[in-house]
Amino acid sequence: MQKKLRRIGSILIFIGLSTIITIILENMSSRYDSLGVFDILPKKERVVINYLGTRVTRYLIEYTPSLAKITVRIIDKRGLDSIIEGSELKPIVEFKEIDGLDYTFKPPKRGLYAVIIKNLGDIPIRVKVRAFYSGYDYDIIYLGIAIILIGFTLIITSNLYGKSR
Amino acid sequence: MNRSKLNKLFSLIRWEFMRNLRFPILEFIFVSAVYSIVSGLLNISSVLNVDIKGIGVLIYNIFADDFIFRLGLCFVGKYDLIIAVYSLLASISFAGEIASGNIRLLLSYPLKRRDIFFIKCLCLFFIPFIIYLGVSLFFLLLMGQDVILYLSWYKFLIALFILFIESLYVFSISVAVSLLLQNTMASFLSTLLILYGLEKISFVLPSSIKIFVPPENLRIYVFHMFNHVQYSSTLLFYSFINMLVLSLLLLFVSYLYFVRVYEACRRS
Repeated sequence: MQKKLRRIGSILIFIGLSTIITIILENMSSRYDSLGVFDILPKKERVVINYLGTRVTRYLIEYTPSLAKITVRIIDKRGLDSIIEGSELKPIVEFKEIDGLDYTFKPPKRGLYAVIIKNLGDIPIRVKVRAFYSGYDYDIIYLGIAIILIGFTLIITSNLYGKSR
Repeated sequence: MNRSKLNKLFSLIRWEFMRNLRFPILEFIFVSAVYSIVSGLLNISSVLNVDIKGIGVLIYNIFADDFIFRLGLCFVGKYDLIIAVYSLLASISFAGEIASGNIRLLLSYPLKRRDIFFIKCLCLFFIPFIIYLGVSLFFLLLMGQDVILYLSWYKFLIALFILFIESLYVFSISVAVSLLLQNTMASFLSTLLILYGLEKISFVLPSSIKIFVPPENLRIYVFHMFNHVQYSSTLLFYSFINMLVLSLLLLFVSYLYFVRVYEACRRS
């Protein structure tokens, strides 16, 4: 029993360490994604959906011609569900009547996020959306730390169990 | 099958576990599985650009498919780690036991050589496979929680099938080389060299031949199955059959050698 506990503990420590090291290696450099270049007709809305981890995310939205104004809302999975169900939309953040956006935020949890862009002008506009990711996926790092702690607890328990016998 | 034979088979399985999964081999398998799967699933990059009226449940299916596609790709993309895992296990279990003389002890056990070979193969093949499956499911549930209800389990089975074929191919070559060389380090290094060599060759081959050479044929299959690139289904089918036949043939030759030809107490 004591040996088995110690073994399971050592396996958990290795799993936790490899999880953390993988995240550090993969997140070491920042990443850039082009989320598309598209046209929006006057008074129409378009949605750009992508999957985000918990890395710091910077959205860059530019458009031409810059005569018109736009409204940008960022929503999460709950927001997407409310669009599908047709219920009231509660965005994470909303920017009204702007002429471009450079917004940095840290997603509270990993999952689907969407940017809703509305053309408020009377002419069609061409929009370019980009995203930059930097920092680390801390949710997975915390998971790795938790696994390591469970592993250590098992090893300590096995030692105490051995001493008590 | 009577009870005492079953007990003997179970003690043989236990022996295999004790000898081949000791520290740090099992840990190495877990580390390779975690690294392969986490690094693959971190790079989900699907982007959907739709009119607000076009949003429906279908968008979740698209992201769920992307998760499975990434999983399939990371099984093929981290082929090097699968080579390392299986060649290590086969070298320790077959070549290592022959070199150290432990195989004589095993053969003195009242079991047929056929049973010993099958149990060794089943244990060595399925342990990494099950670990990869478990780690995949764990991280899939953890990282894809928003779309988990929309996952196509049929496509998940296809990804697992790719892992199965790939593992069987690597495993059969590792076992054959181990039985041929009968030396732990020599068989480990030779298997690595053969499989890495074949992998590097497969990168530079023309695409008409590439479809028949692992792991490029598996990569092509992943792209084909998840509708990113279309290839001829017949060619892909033959490519899989070739891989399967080659693997089974190598395992059969290894079986014949171990059961009929191999002399445990050969006099020099």
